[in-house]
Amino acid sequence: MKLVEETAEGVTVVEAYGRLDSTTAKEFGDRLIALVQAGRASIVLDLKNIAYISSAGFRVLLIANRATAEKQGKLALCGVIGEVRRLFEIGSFTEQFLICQTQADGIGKLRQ
Amino acid sequence: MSDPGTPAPGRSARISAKVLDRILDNSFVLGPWLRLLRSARPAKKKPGELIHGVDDVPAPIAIFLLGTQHVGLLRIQLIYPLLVIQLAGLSPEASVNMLSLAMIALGIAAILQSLPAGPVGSRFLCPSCHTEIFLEPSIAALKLGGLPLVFGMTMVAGAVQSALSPMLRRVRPLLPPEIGGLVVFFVGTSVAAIGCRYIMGVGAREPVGRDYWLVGALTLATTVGLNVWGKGPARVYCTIIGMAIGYAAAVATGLLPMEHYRMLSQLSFFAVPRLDYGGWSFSPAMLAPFAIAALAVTLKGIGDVTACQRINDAEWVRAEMGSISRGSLANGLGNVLAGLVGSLGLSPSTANIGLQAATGVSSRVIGFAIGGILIVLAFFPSLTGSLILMPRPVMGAALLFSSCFVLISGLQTITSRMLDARRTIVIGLAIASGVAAEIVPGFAADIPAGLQPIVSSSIVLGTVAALLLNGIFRLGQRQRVTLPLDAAAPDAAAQVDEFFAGAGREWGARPDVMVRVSFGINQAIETIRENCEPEGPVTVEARFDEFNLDVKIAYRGAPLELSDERPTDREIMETEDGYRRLAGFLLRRNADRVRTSVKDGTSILEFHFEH
Repeated sequence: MKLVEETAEGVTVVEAYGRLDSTTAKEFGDRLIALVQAGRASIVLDLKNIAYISSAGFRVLLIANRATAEKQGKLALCGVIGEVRRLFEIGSFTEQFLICQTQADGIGKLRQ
Repeated sequence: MSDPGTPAPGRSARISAKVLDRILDNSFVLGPWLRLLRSARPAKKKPGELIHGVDDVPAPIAIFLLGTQHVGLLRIQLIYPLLVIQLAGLSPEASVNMLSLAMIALGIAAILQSLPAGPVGSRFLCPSCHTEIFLEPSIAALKLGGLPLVFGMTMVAGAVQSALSPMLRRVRPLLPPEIGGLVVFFVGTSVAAIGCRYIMGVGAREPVGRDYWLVGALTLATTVGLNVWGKGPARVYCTIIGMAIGYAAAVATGLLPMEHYRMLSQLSFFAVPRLDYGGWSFSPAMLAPFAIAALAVTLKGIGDVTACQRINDAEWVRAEMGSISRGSLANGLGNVLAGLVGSLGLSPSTANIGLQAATGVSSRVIGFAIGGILIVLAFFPSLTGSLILMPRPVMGAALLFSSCFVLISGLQTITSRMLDARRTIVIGLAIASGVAAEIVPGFAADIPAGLQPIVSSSIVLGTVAALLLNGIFRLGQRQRVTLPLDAAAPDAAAQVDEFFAGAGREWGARPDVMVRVSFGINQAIETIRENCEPEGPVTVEARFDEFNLDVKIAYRGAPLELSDERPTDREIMETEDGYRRLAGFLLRRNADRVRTSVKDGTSILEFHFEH
């Protein structure tokens, strides 16, 4: 799994590539938590290049979402499309997260 | 289906349609009939592009206008009985009488196809027309035994097609969706080819010039312009408006010379069609060519009714053989009737299917309007004669426009399935065969006359080639595949993905279903690896038929718990049990059916996916 990070308008944008399953979830979750602990609690996570997400992936997303909230930040997801979107729906995760169309939308929402 | 450019219903059109529906439903006379028409509702999802779907009843004026538009298209194919009439050397009065009889047959055939219930009819707007498929056998019969033999053998062909129709339900495995799409594609190319010939003046009796092309171009530009940029009724009736403007241009440019009008003025205004052509006769020598023509029309009908299904169902995934079988029976009975009243053989009209896609109106009730208009027109020879005057470039433009929507619909269906090398070759070679029938001059010159109905039509030749190749390539095809898997291997997920991608291509499966399967199996393997302590390899076995995809995972280890209830977010985050139950919940929701069992220490997890 590959993560590409940048900062835009005070918001950390993380683009994730690959599969988000039990073999990659720990490393992925650790990185998100490290960002939050470093004071970067407003995060836009772009999932458009994620091909697969399992229960392990959802778990770390929930944990990261809670961690940002605890630091008065927010986790916004974008690129939730295709098969990943379907998995969010069958797992009833669409209400748990702030889901935006694009990175720009996510940044805009987090800056409000 | 997402036909580009098909008109979307406007708000005012939707409101007026609803108001009209309510008035008609409460009508003492029409109400019961309309409810019967709607009773055949097949619970399909109407595509957003359709303004009026197969069960809808548009406003009466719209039904009449659209019916007239369809009759205008059907009229083009009267050229085939006209050719035979000319060869038979009949007088103008007798010729018009025969055309009137032909229109009665067409009218009844259109009604049969649209019947909302019962064993006859595709239940779609799928009117019949005269077809080139019967031309060669009819000319041969004319030479051998005159018109009575033509009509007698047409009845025989109708009987053959009627007899074949119940068997169509059994050929379902031989007609996978990509071949259904291929046939629809050929229907589109066939309409496009006829349209191109007409609009370019290929095969016209006299050399064509600038005015001819101008009329065609004006008709096409008007129709396309209204369809793309028009709004409201102008968009809905773009084809008929384009044809009207083309007709006016043809009159203005002299494409319709005055002697045609003089000929019209000599015909009676009203006359009851007479059955006075000398009865029917039969000949064993003509049995083979007419039986082959019946088979060819049956194959073409499969494509035509499939196209109707595709147009009317946004979630269409495969051909529904009941509708195809009933449609074939309706056409067979139509052919018996055509022979009985003294006309040539019929087939479902591909151009009219294109027209309903183009106008966004596929209401079954229009089939009844078409039937009524044709039967009424049959009693007015001067009006029948006026139909013959429709300029060819105008009709060519209408056909070319219609073909766009049918072509794209076919291509979408072909590409809706995963294709391996076998299926790619079947589709590729069949397209090559069909295209050859249309564009290679003399392609079928050396083929015996009896086989001409098969090789002279791109739809029929392409379909026959696809069915034969598909039948051959089915040999050795595996419907059951197995993958022994080391669940702890770092590339286990990649192995699963590759395994199901390959199987999906071999089976011609739907990509969306295979993606669901891949997720389910990967999630299951991941959960088994982390929670069930499997000993030895995990075996993944998949079985497929067109309707079902079943996957069985067997391993030695603790059985997996599949939860019906989603754990709370807190449980998922904070407890291993919550996390494990989420995996089970996802597995249960992802498949259509899941079952777990244990046998002799082996845990078995079975998934069923509807396909």
